[in-house]
Amino acid sequence: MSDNAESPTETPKEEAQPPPDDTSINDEKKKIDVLLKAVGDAPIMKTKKWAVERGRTILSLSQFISRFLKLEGSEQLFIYVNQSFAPSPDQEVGILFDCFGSDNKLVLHYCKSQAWG
Amino acid sequence: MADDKDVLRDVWFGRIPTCFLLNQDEVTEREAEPYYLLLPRVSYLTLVTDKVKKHFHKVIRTEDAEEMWFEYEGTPLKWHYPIGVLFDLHASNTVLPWSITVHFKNFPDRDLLHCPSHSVIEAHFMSSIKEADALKHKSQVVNDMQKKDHKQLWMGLQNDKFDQFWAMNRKLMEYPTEDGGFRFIPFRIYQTMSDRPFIQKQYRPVSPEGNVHTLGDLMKAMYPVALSNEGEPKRFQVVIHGIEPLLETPLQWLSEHLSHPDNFLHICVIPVPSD
Repeated sequence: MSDNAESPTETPKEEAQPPPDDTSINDEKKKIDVLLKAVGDAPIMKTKKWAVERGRTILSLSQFISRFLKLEGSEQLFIYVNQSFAPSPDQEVGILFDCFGSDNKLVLHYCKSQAWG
Repeated sequence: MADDKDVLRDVWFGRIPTCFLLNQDEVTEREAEPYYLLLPRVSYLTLVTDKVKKHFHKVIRTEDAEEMWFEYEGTPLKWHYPIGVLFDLHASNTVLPWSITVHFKNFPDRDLLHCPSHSVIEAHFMSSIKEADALKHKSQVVNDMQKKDHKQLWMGLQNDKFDQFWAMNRKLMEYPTEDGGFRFIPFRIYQTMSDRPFIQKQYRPVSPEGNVHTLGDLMKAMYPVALSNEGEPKRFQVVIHGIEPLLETPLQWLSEHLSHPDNFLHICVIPVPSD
């Protein structure tokens, strides 16, 4: 699982390079903005806003967050959309963004125990 | 003339005759007989196959047996997809019974989620219902329900109790009359011809101008390849619960009557069989 698949963006993105030619990029490789929010006793990510490839799965993102937060192997991570449902681990973030994104980003809440069932 | 409510029953009680065969590579103490079962279209493989596991555990060395998983013609079957969707996608237009191969070794982690207990299925099912309601009602209806109401939805599915399930599910099918339908329709379009999982986007049942959207409108917006142009031979079937509803059917009606218990319309696009 390579970390260079996503790039942290804490401030509005500067145009450091020319905008990519959309037609040449596979839809799954296009990136969407994800905002990660901690719930309960879950540690807060230093970098909260990430540009993530649409084709990335919730499981893959969850593993990334766990590694970033240096969680123990035994500690589980639960991810929620709209503070209401936990998407399937194989669900792609691009689809979640299309259906539940707002202000051009997908907000995901994460916690170490079940929060919203 | 059939009542709309009869459609709900027909959907709920849909069954697929299935033959479970043990994978030839499994080491057995004696010959493994196939096991026949009528699978509910609207349920999940790991919820209804405890008897299959028990049957094959009698002939294999149980010390060696790992988590049971299923495969059809080389394709691992995702237990978290409704059974009817798996059948329509992979095995419709083939001779019944549906022949599924059972495995107890080499679990394909890349293709399948693990299912260690029924509570995992319950969590997945309830999450799907919540996701559907997030689209239909901004989660207002499902959040207004009590924990025991949620439990009733699950128990209804688990125990095949149509009345118990629908006593609660009817609330999730309501909408303000002035809106003409749900906010967005929960749907997933599966295609055999691509390795992309499924198409799911925001789509309204009624246009801002007041036009009622049909199944055809949805397919045109989401996957126009599935529709054939005038004069051209039909290449694809748009299948829900094993049938091809008329493309003129209002999407709102389909959502209320042909959704799975998880409140999603699962639509399969499959190539027209060549005889």
